[in-house]
Amino acid sequence: MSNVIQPRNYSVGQAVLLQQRPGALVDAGEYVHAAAARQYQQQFYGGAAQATKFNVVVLGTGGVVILSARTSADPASPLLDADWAPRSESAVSVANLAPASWWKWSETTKNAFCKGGSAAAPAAASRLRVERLVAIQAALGLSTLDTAQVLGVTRQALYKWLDAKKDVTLQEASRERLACIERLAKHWRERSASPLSALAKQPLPTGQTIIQMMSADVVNEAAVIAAFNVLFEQLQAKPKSLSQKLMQAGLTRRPTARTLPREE
Amino acid sequence: MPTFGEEVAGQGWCTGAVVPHALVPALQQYLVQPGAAPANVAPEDWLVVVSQTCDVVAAKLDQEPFVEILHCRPLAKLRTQFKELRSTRRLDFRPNRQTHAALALSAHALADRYLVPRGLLRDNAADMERRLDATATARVLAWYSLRYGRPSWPDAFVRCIGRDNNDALEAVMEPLRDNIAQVRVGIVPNDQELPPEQPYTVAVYFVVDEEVWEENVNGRQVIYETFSEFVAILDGCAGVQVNQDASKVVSGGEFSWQMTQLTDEWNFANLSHREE
Repeated sequence: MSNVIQPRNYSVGQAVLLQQRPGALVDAGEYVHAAAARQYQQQFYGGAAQATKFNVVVLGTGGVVILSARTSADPASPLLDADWAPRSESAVSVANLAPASWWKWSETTKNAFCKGGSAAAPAAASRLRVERLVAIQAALGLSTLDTAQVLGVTRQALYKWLDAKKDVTLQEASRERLACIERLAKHWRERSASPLSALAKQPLPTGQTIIQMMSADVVNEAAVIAAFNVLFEQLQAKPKSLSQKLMQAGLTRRPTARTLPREE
Repeated sequence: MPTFGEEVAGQGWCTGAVVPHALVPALQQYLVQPGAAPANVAPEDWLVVVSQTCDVVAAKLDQEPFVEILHCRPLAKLRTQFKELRSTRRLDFRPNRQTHAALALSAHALADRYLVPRGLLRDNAADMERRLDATATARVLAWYSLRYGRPSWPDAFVRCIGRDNNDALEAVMEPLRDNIAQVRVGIVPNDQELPPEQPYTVAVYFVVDEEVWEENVNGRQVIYETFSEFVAILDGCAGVQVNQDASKVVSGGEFSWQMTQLTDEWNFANLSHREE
């Protein structure tokens, strides 16, 4: 778990359970994780103050505590102080949980919130990041390893970049590199509908491969674009695969269950 | 002198043919499951032949002494959890969009399936007004094929996915319904029930139709988007780790037969959580 405090909101159902037993937070966390697909902003209403929204906050130390309450008019304010004592009436029901019980199940709850954390709504910036990367992949058709190489990052970093749920902040250098590769991918896409991958490892007249050129510390975009022209010509001359020849000869795919028309 | 099979064919029998209601009394003794009362076949029910046509019209009776019949009952509307092969137990489907456009039928794969002597077909004609169309016939056969042919995954692995992640994965894969790519997975181990503390490792392959790979950059983009979402959801399942180094989007022209032997098609029917 990171040390970043990540607010979560939960539904009325979970609020009611919360007042009944500590383990309800585990359920709440699992519920949020389970409903990950497109529902992230669920409002949590306390029993004592129906109009109050509670933010359930995960501490970096591993404990779980409800730290703030917010009405539509009031700003966020903590419900509990450091000793778990309630600070306001609306915090009373929450603070009925004895301090010892927090630590007893905090580890389990932490794990639940870790899972719940993965259900965070992808921010627009994260989605845009993924869209840009996917556009590069689609245009060039490179393997993940090669894509990471041209972007100047590790594979593990690229996996994180490709996960819209991961809140990644790109450094300036990474942003510039991404923009550069994006420009080159766009240029290839305008040149050819076929991916570059088939010829990515073929040596060019310069002796380098296109992957090597695009992986250089400083990418010579003009040289890469010139190399694209050479590769495009090579692509045009590439012999057809066996299956392409068979399809040209009239062989067709058998329909499968997945190609059946929809019922409605 | 026509063969037995030719005589059967001459009566209009084939996959998708329907038993006329007048013939039901002659079949009634065969429409019974062990320990159950004989099926009550209403006039609006369809008794559909689901044996392959080549078996229905096999030349000699003793080659195929029985045909398989599926007792399908009308229902008001198709149910989401049972249509389009989402369940390997029950199928809701439209039998014929041309002749019975508004009709939906439902059947259970085992409880509604019977064997009747093929000899009865030679002397009786199939229903002339009711027959499955080609799509419905293909759907029913694909349904049975799926039931018996789907990969057998460890229960522990299926539990790791869970209902909600399964739904999320299905939603993510919606763009692939045009069959532009097939999702295949290599599960390690694929035949053991692991304890909760031991995760399954999965390699994911989106195998792309070669024509799409070579000529359709927009199609590839959809596939790559789907791939990244699919991997993220799957990797987020407790008890599952995606081997991201091995996972990839790959042209169908490059995905070898060998790889096909090592992987399974990702099959939602195998993860079915839908109960009746």
